[in-house]
Amino acid sequence: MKAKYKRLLAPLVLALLAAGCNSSSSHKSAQVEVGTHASVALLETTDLHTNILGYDYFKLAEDKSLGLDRTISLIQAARAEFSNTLLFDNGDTIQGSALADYQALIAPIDCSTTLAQYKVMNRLNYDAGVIGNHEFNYGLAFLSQVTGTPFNVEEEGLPSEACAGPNFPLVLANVVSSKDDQPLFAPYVILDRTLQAEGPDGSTVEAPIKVGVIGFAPPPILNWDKRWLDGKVYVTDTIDTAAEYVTQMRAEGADLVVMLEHGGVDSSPYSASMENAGYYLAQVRGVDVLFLGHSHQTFPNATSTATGFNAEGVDKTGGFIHGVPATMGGYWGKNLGVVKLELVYGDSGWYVDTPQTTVEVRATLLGKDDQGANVYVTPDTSVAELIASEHAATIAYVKTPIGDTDFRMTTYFADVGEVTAVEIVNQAQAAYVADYVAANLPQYQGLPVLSVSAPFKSGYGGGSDYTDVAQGDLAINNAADLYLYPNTVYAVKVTGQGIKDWLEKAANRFNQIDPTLTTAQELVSSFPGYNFDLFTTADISYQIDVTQPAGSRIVSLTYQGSPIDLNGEFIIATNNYRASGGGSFPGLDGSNIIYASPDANRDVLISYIKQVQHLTRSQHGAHRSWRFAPVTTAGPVIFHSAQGQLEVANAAGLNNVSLYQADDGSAKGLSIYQIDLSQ
Amino acid sequence: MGRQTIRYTVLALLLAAGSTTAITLHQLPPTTVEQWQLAARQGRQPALWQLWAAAYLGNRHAQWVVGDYLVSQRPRQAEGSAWLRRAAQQGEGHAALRLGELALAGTLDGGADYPQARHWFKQAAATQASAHYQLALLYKNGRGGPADAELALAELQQAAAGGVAQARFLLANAYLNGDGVPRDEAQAIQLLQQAASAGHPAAMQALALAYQRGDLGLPQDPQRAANYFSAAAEAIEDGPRLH
Repeated sequence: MKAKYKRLLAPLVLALLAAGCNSSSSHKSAQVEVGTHASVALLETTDLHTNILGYDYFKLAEDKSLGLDRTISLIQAARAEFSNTLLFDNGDTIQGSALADYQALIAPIDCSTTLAQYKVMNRLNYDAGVIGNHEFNYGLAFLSQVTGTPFNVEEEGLPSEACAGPNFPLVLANVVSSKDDQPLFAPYVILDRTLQAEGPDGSTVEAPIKVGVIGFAPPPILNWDKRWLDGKVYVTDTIDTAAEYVTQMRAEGADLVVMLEHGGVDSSPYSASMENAGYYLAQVRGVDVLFLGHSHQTFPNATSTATGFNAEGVDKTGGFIHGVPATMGGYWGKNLGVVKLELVYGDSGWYVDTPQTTVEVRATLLGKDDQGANVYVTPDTSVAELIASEHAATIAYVKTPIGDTDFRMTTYFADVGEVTAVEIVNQAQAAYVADYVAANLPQYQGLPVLSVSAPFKSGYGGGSDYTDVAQGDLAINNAADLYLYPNTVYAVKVTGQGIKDWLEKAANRFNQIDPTLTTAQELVSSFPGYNFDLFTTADISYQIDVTQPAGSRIVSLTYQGSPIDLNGEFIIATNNYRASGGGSFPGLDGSNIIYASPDANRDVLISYIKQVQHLTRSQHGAHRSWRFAPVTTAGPVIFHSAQGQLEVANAAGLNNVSLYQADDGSAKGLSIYQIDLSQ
Repeated sequence: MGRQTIRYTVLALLLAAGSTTAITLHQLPPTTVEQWQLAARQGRQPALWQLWAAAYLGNRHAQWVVGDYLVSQRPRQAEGSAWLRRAAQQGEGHAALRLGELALAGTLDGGADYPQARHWFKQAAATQASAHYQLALLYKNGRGGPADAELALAELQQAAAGGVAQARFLLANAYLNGDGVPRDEAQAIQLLQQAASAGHPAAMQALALAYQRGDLGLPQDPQRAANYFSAAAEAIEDGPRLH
């Protein structure tokens, strides 16, 4: 060959080789031999909600059933088990515990500080994560700061520099800035990784792979976090966005496409703004692995009755949706999703040997011991060290007094007239609703605003299953004891007759008492105590006549001293459960709700206590609206309550209560008390 | 300018711009319009002119979207209602449903207009499961017409079958209490689980309480109770959900 052509030959060959490498249809690496294979396990945590340690900040006690410190044990075990692993987080990460609130609201961290949650995740070397809906709860400026992601949005207080944050990329494809029509975060990333693989001859080799990761948050964030997001960001059509970017990722050389969908599985007809798009995202061409979350379930789950998991095309046992391996790793660190792929390097590059794919959800709960108690994996103790100061600060925050009470607030005798733990709840609810109505519902101006609530803990589980808040300082954890359930405040409009019907239903709490019987009669029925709705206001007064059959027990129902106008209209503050029909109360079926607030009853209570500051028995714990209609019974009328608490009855002025039997024999720490219904 | 004049002006302009556009806008399928709705609700201006054009040209889906967008802005509620009526008259079920909801909500001056609500929900019921739920409540409570317990139950069952979570919740109660249907705990549990799957907080709470106490034929299971309580806590934080 002539010399000048030889000089051209080498560059020409190299150019051809380079062209071959850059071709979008076959990104074959010159380094990897055809026939090389590798195992890779993709791991998922989801909905951690800043539960880093196994600790319940409301009970101020260890809780082994949750916490990333235990999930870490599962992660480490998987890393030891599989030759290659990738670790992903599927969102709802930085909000949801008192520790998160502490670092966001109470003592907001500065630009150079990394959130405790991300500190721990950085130690774990996550490969990527997605932004879920709760990431937006603290506003855009906070999110930009703590994720170290500059945003171009119409917002005040945005950090001027890239702050400290996660060492791993965060992706989000469907939330876009209204200012520049660009996604807030990187819509996807392509990760370069090196696999420990086996060559065609069986030798151990290293092989490069490109893993594309894309993520989605639920579109309803525009409602849920409207106050932070309205006009500043918008969401795009989930499937259109996915299809477009997945194509792009493949064109950019992604060998695998992993989808981090912060959403669950909903097989109802597709809508561009649907909350749980997993069922449809699985159908986007080119998706290799689908991670799910948001609905706090586990998938696969052979016994699940969830509608979406039982839809056509969903293999809830094997963990596949329309043939795509999918997993949802529970919530609060209880589980780890594991998708194991067998990869083979073929003529066109890496491909998944699909029949070999396995999907499972691992749990920190190992089983039960001989005593029937739950056994959990041991936690990684280095986590506690790493976030020791943040953890201690959170405990101090939860214990910080928000007020104080000069009386003990309990439910030991709520069935017979004690109101010490219920009245403050009613006061908080009524004040909250009254304020809202005055400001926003002028058509109801002039209507009385009242409230009902129930003693949520009334001894079903034994002597310790009562509310008991000590006299003295009140902190947030006490509020959790005073308002037990995850409810939001709802207000309904009812007539006087409606109130009577409501109270009649609540009066099912009692058995019908026969005044002629000489034998002891149990006062309290099996009707749950959490449905014993009652008033605790000087404006309402009524008697419960237990000698009557259920439905005819409410007598002398008065409002402000006069017999209640049965046709009059009243606004009653209650909760979402009751107002939607919980407990099957007559007239409460969702049709008379005038205000469905976004605020939790517990939070409303906390705000109220902060406002009132000093709770006194006379102002906040002694307004009995109801008594039993007096009747002389030939025999004792008895009920059960915690042992040794008679002084509580005395302090509440219940002079007709006495001890009947020190131990009721149920081995649940209960006594039998007696009530004299003639007083 | 009368509406007809506007319509023909827009049509003329579009025909001048490109003849296929006008016809396409008139015939636009619901899915495209749904994407516009997503855009319009987020106030993204470029999408709006196409919607208006399509609405003027008589596209009922666009009329529904325009009406829905306007009624959410109090000063333009009357204008929005007019668009919703046009859409409803052409058989657009969402528009009829929204008109029924507006009738229920009433105005600041007047209360709910129950007869109007019944009228619109009956129309919407052809395609909207939520309308069956609303009718169930109106019939049950004798609003806008005579009370009819049997009809109320039938509507409730249709709503539940159509996937309305709150209807499933109420129907579960009916089965628990033997209210118009035979007492059937198993059926009630199934309905509660379906409603819970759809994110209904009260249904989640009902199941949590049942597992906590071992009620309703379910075993006492603190683990499942805790799961349902945490699910309810998550669901309420995500905003109030009635249906």
